[in-house]
Amino acid sequence: MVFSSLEFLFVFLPIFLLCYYLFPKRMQNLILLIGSMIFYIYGAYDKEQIGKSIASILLFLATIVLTFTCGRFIERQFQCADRAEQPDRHKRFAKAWLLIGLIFNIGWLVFFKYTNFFLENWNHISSGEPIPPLKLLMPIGISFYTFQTVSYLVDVYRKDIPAEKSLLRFSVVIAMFPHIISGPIFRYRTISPDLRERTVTLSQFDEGLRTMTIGLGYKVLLANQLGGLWSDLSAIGYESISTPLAWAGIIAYSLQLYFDFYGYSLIAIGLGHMLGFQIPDNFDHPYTTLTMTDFWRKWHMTLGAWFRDYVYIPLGGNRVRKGRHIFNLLVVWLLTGFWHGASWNFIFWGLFLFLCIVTEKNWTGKYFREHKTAGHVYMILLIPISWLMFAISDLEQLTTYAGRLIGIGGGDNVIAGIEKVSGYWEFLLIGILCCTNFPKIIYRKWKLAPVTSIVLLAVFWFAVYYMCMSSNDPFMYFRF
Amino acid sequence: MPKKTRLRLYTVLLLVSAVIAAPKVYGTLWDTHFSEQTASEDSDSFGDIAPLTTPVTTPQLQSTTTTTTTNANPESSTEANGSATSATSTTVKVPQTTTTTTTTTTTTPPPAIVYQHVGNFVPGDAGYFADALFIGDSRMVGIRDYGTIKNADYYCNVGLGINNMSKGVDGVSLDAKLSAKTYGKIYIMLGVNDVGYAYEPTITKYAQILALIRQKQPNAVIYILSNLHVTKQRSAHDRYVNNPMIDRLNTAQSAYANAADIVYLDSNALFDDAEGNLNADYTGDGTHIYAKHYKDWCDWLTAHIAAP
Repeated sequence: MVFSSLEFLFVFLPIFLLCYYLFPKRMQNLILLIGSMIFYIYGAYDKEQIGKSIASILLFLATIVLTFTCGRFIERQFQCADRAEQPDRHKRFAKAWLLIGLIFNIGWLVFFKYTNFFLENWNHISSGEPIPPLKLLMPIGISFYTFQTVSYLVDVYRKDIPAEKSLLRFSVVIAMFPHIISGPIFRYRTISPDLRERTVTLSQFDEGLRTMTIGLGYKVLLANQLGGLWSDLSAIGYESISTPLAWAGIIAYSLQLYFDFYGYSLIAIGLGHMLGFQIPDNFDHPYTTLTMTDFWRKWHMTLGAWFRDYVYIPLGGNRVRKGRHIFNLLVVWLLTGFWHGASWNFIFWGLFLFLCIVTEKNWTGKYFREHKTAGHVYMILLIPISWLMFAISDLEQLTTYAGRLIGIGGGDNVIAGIEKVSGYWEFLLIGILCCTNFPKIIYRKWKLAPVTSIVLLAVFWFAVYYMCMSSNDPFMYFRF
Repeated sequence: MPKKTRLRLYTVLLLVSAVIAAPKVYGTLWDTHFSEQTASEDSDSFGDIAPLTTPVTTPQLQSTTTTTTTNANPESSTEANGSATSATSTTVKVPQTTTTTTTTTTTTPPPAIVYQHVGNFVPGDAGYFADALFIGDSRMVGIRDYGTIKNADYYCNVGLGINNMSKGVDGVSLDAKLSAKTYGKIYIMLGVNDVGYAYEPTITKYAQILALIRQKQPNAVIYILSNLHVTKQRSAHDRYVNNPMIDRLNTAQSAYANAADIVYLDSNALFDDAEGNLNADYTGDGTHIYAKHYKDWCDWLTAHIAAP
């Protein structure tokens, strides 16, 4: 069940909210858990692969219970260590429990996400009988909830937080429907105060609803529309597109990616508000940054924070000699690339980001920060190029597209020009405008004006109109 | 307005509007989950036209409807009725089997797929399309934009289908388009946008469209072009847009061909793989061929001109 669906907005959400507010406050966590489980099961259920979908649901439950248990055991071992005569023994046990938890969590993520990638590459290099790929059904949200559970276990082990004593509260945090599918990934302590005590006033609810509406607008009215241009290009075939069209296409894709994910994150944050939780921001106008280093501090911020806290700093961060620092960056960016998807283009993409960031750290970064125009031009070129590596997983196609960006290749095949963008210009312009902080400034200034409520209302119903159109007509998004 | 009210205004407005919109929204939801797509929405768009009937069920084409009787060329239709089956030309596509140099034993190839055209076809040249009209969906838009047939008229749009024909193209109805000019040949390729709709009404409506064409353009040769297949991958995962559904529609459409003034051409012969799915090498989205291949399609159409 995606947020931008009629089923979610008009069936699940109203029923859930009614239960959430009508039942006594002490039952809110339980209702949130039940609601989240229904949400998860509805999303994971695949009638063509019943066995596998049940397995993925059970795995999700097992992950929650096992992580909770490991957290408790880690804490208990530390408590014993404080009292015992041989504290080292208990500390070793604590570490063992941490490792069990980590291996279980990361193991399943690797299994589901990367097995076929490894098999494919193994078949490529080995001369023996090729191993057929496994038919796996990846559990929904596994990339996100695994990072959430790993973060929890490490925090408990580091004694940053006490282990959660209530399985109910723990399950609520991990499974909470606003963030289970695509984050934001947050640390346990961000949300744990809200778990025990939270109040939702009507004006807070209103605030959440507004945020949710803006997210819905970004997702349905911008991202989904812009997505059309990108899919048009893949249908035309990259060798046939002119250079201006290639640039328009990759810009459209960059905007689509941003508004899709930013919109989704805003919906999650809005829903959080409506339920009394403070879910952290995930984006802070990344497209207006001057360097790639800055960009990644403002794009998918919760993921960046995760890699910083659980990979980069444990490796030593930047408080090491230079060679080691570069190595640390390499590890972080290769993992970031690989986390986004199991294919070579994501690894190259990670490497590309690494090279950009190392170059900026040592040479160019200072210049671009001081010369804003140059910085913006640099990023306007670099962002689409980096997303191109992200978007196209077939390396041959990727090369073809990159060639078209600089006018190489194609020859007689170039038969699709910039006129293909007609119908998308307004979305591109609105998209570019919404990348700046201009809309936010206006919104803050006029937030309480009644006209703002009317505009938001229009955004909401326009989005719903589009959703109705697409469910009325199964071909809304793939018309021929 | 007091601040307290303004802080809650959006929630109140949204709730009120939701109550007003509820019947429509829940109606849509209900339709999506509990009822089949139907073509009833604009079924009256061609209500005044009796659908063309197939030559198989009604051998006398002249007697199908009053509109066709007065306009159809009696000579060609008589001929057609007599030779409809014999004039069926077929293209057999034998899957290519790669043989290694060491292998000497012959392996039985998988059964060849037969592409059945209805009509007699001879090679022609580009001048043939000067008085042609092409009607169709996005694949036809592809022929218009990327193909080599530039001298023809086009009446096509992305998303155009049998069931939404009444919406017209750029504000022009099909009726108006057909009334504006006399055409010598009309190519029609529609249906892939209709596989999600109820089957029977779709076919009836298709026959109405053919009848309208016949009525407005009595002397034109009508080319029914098959809808192109989709790739194996797409076909396997799409509830509506899959090759069995497309084949069902194509077969039904081909039945309207009489091998004389209505012919049927199956372009799938050109772009299918050995298993009868759209060849994955030709497409990026599993549905549309790459722009560069439309030239081949145009060449193929030029090479398949209905024999006079």
